[in-house]
Amino acid sequence: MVDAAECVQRTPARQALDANLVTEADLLRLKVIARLHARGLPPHVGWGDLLQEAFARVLDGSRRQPEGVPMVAFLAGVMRSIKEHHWRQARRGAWQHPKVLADYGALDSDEQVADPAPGPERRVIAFEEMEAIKRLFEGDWRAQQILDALYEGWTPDETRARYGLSKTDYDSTRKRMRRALIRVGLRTLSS
Amino acid sequence: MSTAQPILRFERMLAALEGDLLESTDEEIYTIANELGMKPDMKGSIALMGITFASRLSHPGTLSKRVRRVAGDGLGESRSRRRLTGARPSRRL
Repeated sequence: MVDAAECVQRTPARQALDANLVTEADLLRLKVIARLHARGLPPHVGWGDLLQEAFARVLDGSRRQPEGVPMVAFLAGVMRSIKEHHWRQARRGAWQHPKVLADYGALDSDEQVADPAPGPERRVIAFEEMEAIKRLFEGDWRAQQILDALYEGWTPDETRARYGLSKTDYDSTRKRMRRALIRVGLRTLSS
Repeated sequence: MSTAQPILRFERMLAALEGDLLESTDEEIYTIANELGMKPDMKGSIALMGITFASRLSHPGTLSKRVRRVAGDGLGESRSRRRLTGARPSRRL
């Protein structure tokens, strides 16, 4: 017979919060980041899965936080590598939704890098989500320019030179974009 | 253009936006949460909202030594007071 206490389950995020690995503000920040990365996820994986898996890997010790790297930045990096893991699994056609996180083993080191041979589905999703992100900034042409610049991999200096933006304009636009992303990321929690 | 190029560019853009979000301040997050009518001052009210994917990792025995050290081995002491949380898939944006 299973003891009642054994049945009580806390989410990895709850455990991390209780263990003071993250603050509530960190958790909100991570949710927004998870929602951002969910835009590039295979359709059968949600942002919550991504976030919980990242917490689970840190909590079970399969991912160790390097010295000097803040926990939130580390978890964001873990989410990115989990995303690559999901895409690799999807491409292999072997993906199955885990019933429990314990079904997963540790990620291989080669899963830290982008999938070298992405399939057409991923390309379509990337295109659609790029358009969706651009729509978030509809009417804000400076934000649209900066999105294009980020897509092209231009540095802030290159972007400012190409578009004739002052440093103040550039910085204030990035700040405006950040706030818009936070707003969109948090909005579904309040609805 | 190879299939990988647009994806790498898209991921590069997401990584840059992620960097912006990492730089956000707690005040910025809470201000926006308040504007949206959330109640970030209520402990645990919104931070855990939407995350209901439970795991077997809740058993303290499975936690890493580092986490147990950070938590002062106090993890799980109040487990019996907590409600059972069912697994439920999360929504995408």
